[in-house]
Amino acid sequence: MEIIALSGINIVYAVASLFLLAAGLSIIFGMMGVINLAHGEFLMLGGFAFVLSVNAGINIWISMFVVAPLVVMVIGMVMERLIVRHLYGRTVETILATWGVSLLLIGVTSVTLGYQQLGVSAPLGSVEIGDYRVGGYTFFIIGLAFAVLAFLYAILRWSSFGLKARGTMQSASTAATLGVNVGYVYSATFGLGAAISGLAGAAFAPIAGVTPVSGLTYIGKAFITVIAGGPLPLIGTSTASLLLGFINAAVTAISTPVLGEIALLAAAILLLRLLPAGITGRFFRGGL
Amino acid sequence: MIEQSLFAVSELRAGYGRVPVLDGVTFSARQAEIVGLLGPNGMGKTTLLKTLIGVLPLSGGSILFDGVELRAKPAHERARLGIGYVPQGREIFAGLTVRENIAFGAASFGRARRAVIDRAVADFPVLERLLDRKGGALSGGEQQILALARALAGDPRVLLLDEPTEGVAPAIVEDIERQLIKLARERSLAVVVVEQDVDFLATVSDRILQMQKGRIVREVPVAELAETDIFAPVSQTNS
Repeated sequence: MEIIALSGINIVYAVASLFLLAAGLSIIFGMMGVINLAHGEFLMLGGFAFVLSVNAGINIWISMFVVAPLVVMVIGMVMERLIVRHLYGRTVETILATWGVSLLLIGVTSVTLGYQQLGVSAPLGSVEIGDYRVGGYTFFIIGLAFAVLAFLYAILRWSSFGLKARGTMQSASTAATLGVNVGYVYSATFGLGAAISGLAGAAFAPIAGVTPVSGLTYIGKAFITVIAGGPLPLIGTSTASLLLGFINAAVTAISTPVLGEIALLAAAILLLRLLPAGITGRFFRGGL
Repeated sequence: MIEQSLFAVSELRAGYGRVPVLDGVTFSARQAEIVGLLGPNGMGKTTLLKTLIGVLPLSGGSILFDGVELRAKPAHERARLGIGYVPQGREIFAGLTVRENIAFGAASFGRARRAVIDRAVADFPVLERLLDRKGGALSGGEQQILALARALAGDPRVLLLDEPTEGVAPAIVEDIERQLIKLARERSLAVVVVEQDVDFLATVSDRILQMQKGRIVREVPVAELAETDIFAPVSQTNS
């Protein structure tokens, strides 16, 4: 019974982790269509901003929910304003430019912060399940994923900004003729995606630590999840996280983590072979 | 008393890259006046409206709206000043519901969403049963009405309409005619409508201007519209 409960928690945790890794990218790539190869570095910067501010004496929750998202949001908005804005609709140039930013951010953090892993102890203690103990932070990550999903859904579905963002991404020129400052909307939407990535990076820092190359371990899974999800950024990313996270955790439970990762990739390839437009290209049409 | 023009275009020049399309367009529109622009394809009518709203840059001339020069202002600022635009092909946001499309039209004007939607439904009752349907799922005529309601949600003082009857069923065209005349009179809207449907223009327009080769070549009396050959060359003088 305890094993079943632990396996269930591990599966939900894997799903939640995958969603958090990909949530920011679901806005920047899934919604805006920007192939941001610096997404992993947004997560890494969120991790560093969190760890450094905690080490500087700032409350751990303020560091996670305020400092890390704000720092990465500002960096993201500057990047959008200076680089990405000039490349909308130019896929190859965007890939090259964001890859360059990725290398730049890795280089700058390596030079300034060094190559050693930085970290913070995971808060919230542990919970006993029979003879086993599960970190309380595991439940926090699960709750955070649900909270991020609800927050993004609410802001995109019901706020004036969300309405403007969804319309602008469909037709920027039409949005402009209806009074919308599309430059501001692009910048703010990119900033929102970057802020969510910063929050996710901070949330993973107590578990995985942070190094300048941390982003490289995240970016592949994030892109696979968003692409497998298809055109609807939120429903797509959450359903893809559910499917791929479940497969990853289930295979890991009966074999090894390496085989779990292989199973995740194989499932994504099979999914895209069967559904080239992703899950929401076939199902759940008309949502967010 | 001479009524001042609300919207005055003078010697407007614009084009696509190095290809000139507009060659010194001059015309004006007063409050509560519907000005029809008539002409065959390729004469610059759509380019003119796109230049007026700011989607295309102009290379010369002036656009005055209520005494304010618009030539250097981007599209969103022109819209916020009170220029509404219904593009050719409607450009409805296919992924947004009808309710959201209408709300989008008012999103930059700080108006209460509920009130804007109530007014749109009062103006165009057909929208009431469509409010929760996606814009992309509507017929051409329904989309045209939605595009009109969306443009009006921002409470414009000038409305630019590009081919509003294109691909629209005759019954809906009559609805659009009635509403356009009513709205222009009740809200003192200056309307500039580009159209190839001569009957539509004859019904709604107070004045009709004929365009050829990027210029307005003459004003056509509404009564003579049926006998006018819009393809026949006219000497190049602006109205």
